Amino acid sequence: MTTMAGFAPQIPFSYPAPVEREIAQLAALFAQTPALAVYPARWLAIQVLEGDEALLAEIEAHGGSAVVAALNDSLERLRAVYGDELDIVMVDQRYRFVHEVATRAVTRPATPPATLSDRIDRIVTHRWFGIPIFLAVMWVVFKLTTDVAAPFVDWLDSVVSGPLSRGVSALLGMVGAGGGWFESLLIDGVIAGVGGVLAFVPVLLSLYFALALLEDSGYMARAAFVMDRVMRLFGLHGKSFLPMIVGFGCSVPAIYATRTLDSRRDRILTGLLVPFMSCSARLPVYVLIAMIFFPAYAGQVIFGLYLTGIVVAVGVGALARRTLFGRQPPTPFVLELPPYRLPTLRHIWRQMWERTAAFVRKAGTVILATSVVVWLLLAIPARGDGQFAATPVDQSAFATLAHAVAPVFAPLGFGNWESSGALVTGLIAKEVVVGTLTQVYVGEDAVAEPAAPPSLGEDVVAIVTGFGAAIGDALRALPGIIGINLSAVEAEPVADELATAIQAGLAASSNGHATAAALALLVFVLLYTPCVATLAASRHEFGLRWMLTSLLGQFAIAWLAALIVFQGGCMIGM
Amino acid sequence: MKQTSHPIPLRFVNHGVRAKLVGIQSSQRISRRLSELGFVPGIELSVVADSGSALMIALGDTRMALEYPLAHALLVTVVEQGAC
Repeated sequence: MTTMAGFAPQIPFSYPAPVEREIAQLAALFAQTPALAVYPARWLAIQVLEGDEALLAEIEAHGGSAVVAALNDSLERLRAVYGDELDIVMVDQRYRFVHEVATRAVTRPATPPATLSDRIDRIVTHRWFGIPIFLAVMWVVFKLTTDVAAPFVDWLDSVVSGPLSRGVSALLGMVGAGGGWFESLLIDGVIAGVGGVLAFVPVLLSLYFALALLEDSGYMARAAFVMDRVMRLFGLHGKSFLPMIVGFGCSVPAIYATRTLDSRRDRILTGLLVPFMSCSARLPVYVLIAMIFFPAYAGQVIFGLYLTGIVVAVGVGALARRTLFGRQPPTPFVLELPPYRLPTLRHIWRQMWERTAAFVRKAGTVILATSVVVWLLLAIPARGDGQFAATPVDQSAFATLAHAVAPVFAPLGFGNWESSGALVTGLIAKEVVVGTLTQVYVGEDAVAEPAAPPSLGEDVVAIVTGFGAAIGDALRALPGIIGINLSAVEAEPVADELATAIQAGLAASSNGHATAAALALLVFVLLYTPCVATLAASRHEFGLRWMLTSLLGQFAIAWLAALIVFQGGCMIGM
Repeated sequence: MKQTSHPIPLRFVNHGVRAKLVGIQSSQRISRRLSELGFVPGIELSVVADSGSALMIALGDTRMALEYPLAHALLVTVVEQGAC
């Protein structure tokens, strides 16, 4: 930076003489006004001459009558010279300066040739091809996060529930702490809860890989341009699309991303709609339920859920802007589009890593705390004659609590206490639903372990070969993204104890319409009140009133939508 | 090569046609914002794409998305008919 000083004075910058005269006068006056001392005087003079409304208001409020009168005189004199174009003249002067510096430093052809970016844009942002291309890109993203990630999910899951749990159990046995409530807390609470969620790290890695690729290549801004027309259906414009797509990753940064919008109306409306964009924490729940109930169509079902979220947001947006926001017009849509760039693997990897690590940290704190609380509730006997940490699940405090909530969900087909309990804990963070379901269903049979557990050596071999098999499965799934299915033989359902337990639970709660209930449950998870972190963010950004609007509104919408899905599903015989 | 003396809104300029900005017809707030983004009188620009609700404008090396109403507010004269 020190070398800059040598260059600066060679091309002096000044506004036209009449403007400079007024700037000097006003700056001198502002410099003597203590109330305005926080601002550099010359900068303040330039801003108010250009018509900065906030600063003008501040001067009128605190500057005193002499300063206000002098300012009005200055504006009057300049208006006589430039009319209403004073601000444009001043900006223009700055651009001239920049242009002059640039022409002295850079040589370039008089007519800039059409760049590669423009040629790509001719197709990618085409009026009619643009939206189909966008949908195709999104389809690839979702195939990537389901089919390609699935083998790794299965592998991690089996490592956590098999060798890891056994290892910890053996370790506790060695130090003499095995068999008691402490082992139960570690294995059924901590490892089952957090581990069940961590098993979805591959899903998140692939989602964040796709998002980073789209951002770094420059496509994300094009998507905002292409989707502007669609966003108008929500009563918003293309710029709101960016927070919305961030919302597919996590609602919390998406709500903070609304800060880039120009008006409060746009910020709040976008903030209300962001939670309907299905965040990555909901994905583990979809994957689990969809793999159990729709093994052959899991990808399509999940894609459908994402679309459902968007459609509901369109409806809510249309409704909200007619009712909550009256006649306030949206602010104009202007957005700079960066040129296309080849993303670097290093940067993509860093983003994948940082975002996934943030999720894992959350899994280590919020989810760990929730898992322990749920384990405690499960351990405390509320009925029957069970003892602490040895009570049957259906007699635990958790069951009592969940039973109390369950009737709310009865018309939706998932009024069993296991599902409703999981949904309640999902308020802490949506991915916890998976952890809780695992705990309440699998925790039951945790005793039913194989008579002769495999040795440490056998475990290590199983982990390594399992990982190799997962890579093979993922590679085979890659061509499936563009519709070529190499692994037609493996239509194997997730046939573990969790799958059977969930299936049986939903079948009972829905009078045999388990599929309809599963679909209703998925829709409910998609739409219901976001996690506490999102609520905290929306309270921080928009205030308590809007947070409560968001909380209650979404619960009501989710309940209604799930009701329609379940009753409709039963009617068509699901 | 064709020189039109009559200013028209940027919205009605076809793809690939080079045009010169002559003025902004809008509120002071919006004019100021646009000029800050580089839409200053005398600058050459052209339309790269049309999404159906907004135009993508080439403004030097910058590409800017502008909604239709703003493209209506920018008055330009055509400098040269493009190939498209």
